[in-house]
Amino acid sequence: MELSEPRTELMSSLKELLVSGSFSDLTILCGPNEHKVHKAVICPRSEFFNAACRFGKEAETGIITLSDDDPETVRLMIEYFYTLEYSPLCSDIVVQTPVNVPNPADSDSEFIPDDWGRRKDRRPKPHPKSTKPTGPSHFTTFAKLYAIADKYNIKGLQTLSQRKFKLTAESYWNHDDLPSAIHTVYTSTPDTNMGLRNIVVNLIADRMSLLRKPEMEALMREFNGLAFDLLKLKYINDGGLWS
Amino acid sequence: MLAGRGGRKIRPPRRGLHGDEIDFENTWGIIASAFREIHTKNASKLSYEELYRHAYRIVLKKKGEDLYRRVRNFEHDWLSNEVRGTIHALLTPGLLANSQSIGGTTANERRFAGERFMKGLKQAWQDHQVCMSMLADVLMYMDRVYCADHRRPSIYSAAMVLFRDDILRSDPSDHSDMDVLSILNHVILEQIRMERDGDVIDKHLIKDCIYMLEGLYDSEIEAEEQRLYVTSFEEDFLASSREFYMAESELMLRESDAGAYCRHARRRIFEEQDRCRSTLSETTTLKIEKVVEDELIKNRIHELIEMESGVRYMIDNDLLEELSLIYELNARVDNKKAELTRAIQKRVVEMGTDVNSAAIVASQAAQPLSEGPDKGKAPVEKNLNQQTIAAIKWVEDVLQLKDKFDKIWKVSFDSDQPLQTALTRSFADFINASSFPRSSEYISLFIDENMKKGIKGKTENEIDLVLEKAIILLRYVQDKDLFERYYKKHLCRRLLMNKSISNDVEKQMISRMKIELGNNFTMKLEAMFKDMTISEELTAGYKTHIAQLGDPDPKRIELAINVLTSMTWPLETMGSSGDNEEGKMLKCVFPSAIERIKKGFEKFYGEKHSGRTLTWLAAMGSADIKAVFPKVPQKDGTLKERRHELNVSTYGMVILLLFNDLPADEFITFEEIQARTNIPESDLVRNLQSLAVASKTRILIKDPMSKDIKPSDRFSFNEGFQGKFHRIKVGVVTSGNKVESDRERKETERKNDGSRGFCIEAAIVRIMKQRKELSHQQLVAETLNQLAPQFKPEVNMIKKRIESLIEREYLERIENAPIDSYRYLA
Repeated sequence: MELSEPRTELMSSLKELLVSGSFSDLTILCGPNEHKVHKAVICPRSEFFNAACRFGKEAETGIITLSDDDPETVRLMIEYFYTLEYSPLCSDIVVQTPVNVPNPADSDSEFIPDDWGRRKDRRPKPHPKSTKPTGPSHFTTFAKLYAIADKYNIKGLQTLSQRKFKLTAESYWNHDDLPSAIHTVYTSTPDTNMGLRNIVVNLIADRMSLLRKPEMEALMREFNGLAFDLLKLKYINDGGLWS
Repeated sequence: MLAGRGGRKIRPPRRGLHGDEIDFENTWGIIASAFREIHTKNASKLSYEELYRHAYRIVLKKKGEDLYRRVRNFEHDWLSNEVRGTIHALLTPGLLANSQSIGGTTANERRFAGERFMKGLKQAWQDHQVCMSMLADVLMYMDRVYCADHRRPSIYSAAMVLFRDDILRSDPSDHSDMDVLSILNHVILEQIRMERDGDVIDKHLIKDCIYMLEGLYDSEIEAEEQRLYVTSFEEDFLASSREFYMAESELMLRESDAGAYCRHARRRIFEEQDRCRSTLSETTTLKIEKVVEDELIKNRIHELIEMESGVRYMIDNDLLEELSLIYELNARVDNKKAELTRAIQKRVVEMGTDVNSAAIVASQAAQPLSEGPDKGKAPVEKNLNQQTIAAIKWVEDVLQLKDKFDKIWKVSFDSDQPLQTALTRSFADFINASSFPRSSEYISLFIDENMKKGIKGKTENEIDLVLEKAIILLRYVQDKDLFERYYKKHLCRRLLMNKSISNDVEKQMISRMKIELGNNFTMKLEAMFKDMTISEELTAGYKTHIAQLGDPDPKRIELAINVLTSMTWPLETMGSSGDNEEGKMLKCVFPSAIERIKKGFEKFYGEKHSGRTLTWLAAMGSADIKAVFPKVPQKDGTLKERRHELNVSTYGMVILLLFNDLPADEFITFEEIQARTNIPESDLVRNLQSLAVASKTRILIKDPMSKDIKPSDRFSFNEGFQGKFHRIKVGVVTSGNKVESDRERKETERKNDGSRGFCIEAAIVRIMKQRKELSHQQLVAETLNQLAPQFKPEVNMIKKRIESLIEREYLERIENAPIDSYRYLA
């Protein structure tokens, strides 16, 4: 028998709490999902949940209904609260060597995990020599988690999601998911939040040919901020001074 | 970094494509109505998630600024419309009036109106805080994103500012410029005034209002010193307190005594400290303490100390507790306790001067007798005795004074070091006062008296105490050299005349002085003791020597001798002090029997110590004579020969022996006696007075019989002398230690100055030998410094000694030196 690390003990007991729902003193409803959670785990890490538990109807009923959020995103957020991770894990995002020719004609399927378990089946399988990655990229998932972390002020989740988005950008820059993910980035957080915006701008600046995709052009036209930041980066990279 | 916040100042034109405006108005409507519910304490049905989500959406859609402004306006309207009225309604005409002048309302009415007003204000403030923290929860995302990005105060802070402006700074009546805040200040100050006057007030209520003032700021800057409490209330509080205590101190000084004043002042300070803790803010403690200390102590300490019931009265009546209160108060406002120190010093010097004056009066009262026409010595002796008593009384009085102030210092002044120094200085001041030159002599006399009589029958501890007393006083004496001179003189008499009760105690005293004043001081005194020891050995040795000669003469005269080193003993002060040089030069003619012994001892001594010259001091010796008086009829009718042993002075013996060879009915004149004995006139007069005038020892008959001795007087042997005892002591006048007459003291001082001259010269030479060159100023300073343990020379004397040393070429002036300087000439 392997001895378990103290840290492992805590982490597995937290996961157990989430799965079993024992000792739960707070319910989070979102779409069809009902999450039996614990104030002690959640409230200290998010000022939103902290305040909600003290306020009006939520305080009285012990139920928080997140009526405007994406149920899957909320599920992953709660997974994060208990495991400090959410799927797909960082270790499952494989870094590819960049390939030459972008091919915008690929399937646009987005992977939506339906369970807490079987992640091996969901491991993305990039084709080593192929010119274009296939399979789900999860770009949008990470962007959504980043946004919800901003909304409810969960700092750790924001950092984690930013890291995942960046890893994905290095592997899947040519993925068909990219344009819609960029759209999510530019609409789900305030203009001043540069956490993902900088990653997007750098990605495009390094591979300007992406602009040939019509979806990309549409983005450039819609988000002046994106276009401007790109130009600004180009200018700086050309040796321009920006005080 | 791309696109930092700074780069966002220029925004791209907005496109109103999404119907955002309509959305905003709808959303705001939902939020505003929820806020109204919150303000009316009806929030339990509100969904936090919903409100948060709406606010979040608005901010995400870049309407943060609009939302912020709407919330502020909402709060402003709420405070202005819903809250302000209720507060203003609490302000009764009485309250409005008394904040300017005393209106027609009774104190009690004003008091209740004030409390109602404070309660209302406190309630409004607490409600506002609770509601605003709920609003802030709802608007969290706006605070975090919009306010942080645009550097706006959080909505909570902004709402607090609104409370300040819309409530506290609102003007409740048209005809006054008092706002709610200044009325609040007045109400609180009035309550404090009531409490100072002994009423019980609602401290918690005031404290709650103070919390409000502490939570609000005077301007946009949220700094400690910008709190409304500091800028608005505290200043008023300190100013009105200053006024209050200024008036109170004046009243107290007029109407109560110093002790009560002190107790009251102390209580006031504690009260104010307590008030800051329980009712106001601890940040005020030090400031209000200062106000009370200023008004009750600092500005009044002089008056307080000088009150009729002040420090002088306390000292005179030993009011130790009151004195300690004064000390405590003075120490609060002044590290140095200058006022108290000054008063204490003044009183010490006053009381010390009284002691001095009493001693002078006692001595002057005695003097007219000695200066009377009758210059007989007996009454003078009596007077001198009185003076000695005065001297001892002086010592006791000074010690008593010291005990008194020591106790005060210990019990009341917390053994304060600087005060002890001040006390010591003041004691030294009156003990060394130029108007009272007798301290050294008196202290020495005190010791003398105790050595001779005082310590008889006392235990070791008691004796220790007496010695300690003498040492205590000695510490104050500045001119230790003068003391040494007196002490030597007095010791000399005690030793030679065997007056000391205990040799051990004498030695204890010497060793104490050694510790106190150093080796140099006691060297000569110790030498005197050594001479005495050697003399005992000599006497014994001589006795053995005579016995060995084998000439057992039954009429042998026994000799007890003291050989004194002339430099060590103050011989000039012995015997006939008035005759000076003349007296010393005369050599008494001894009768042949005595002369033989004298020669014999000189030979014996010469063999032991060749080269030493012995000078015989007849004036100091004494003799036991076996005298036989002829048979006279007794009471029972028988005739009986009477034998007496007469103890007389050496001179007395010399005189009496003259009559051995004289037929019974013959006489010798004074002049004859003087011619045949060569005894100095004054000594002769005194001895003849003892032998022929004093009634109990009238061994000679004087003709004519009178007190005075005249050169023509005739003396004959008193065959009919009757003595009660076998052994008769013929008292020799002036054998004890007495206070000096003024003339004697001047003489003593003159001699002392003479020896000071040598000390000063020695010091100057020592200094110059080491330093080689020195300015005049420095030389004088160092000389004073070196001599401080012995005495304090006059600067003039130092100058004269320098001049003299230059004349004798020990020093020279340095030519052309910028300041007067000297050089040592080896």
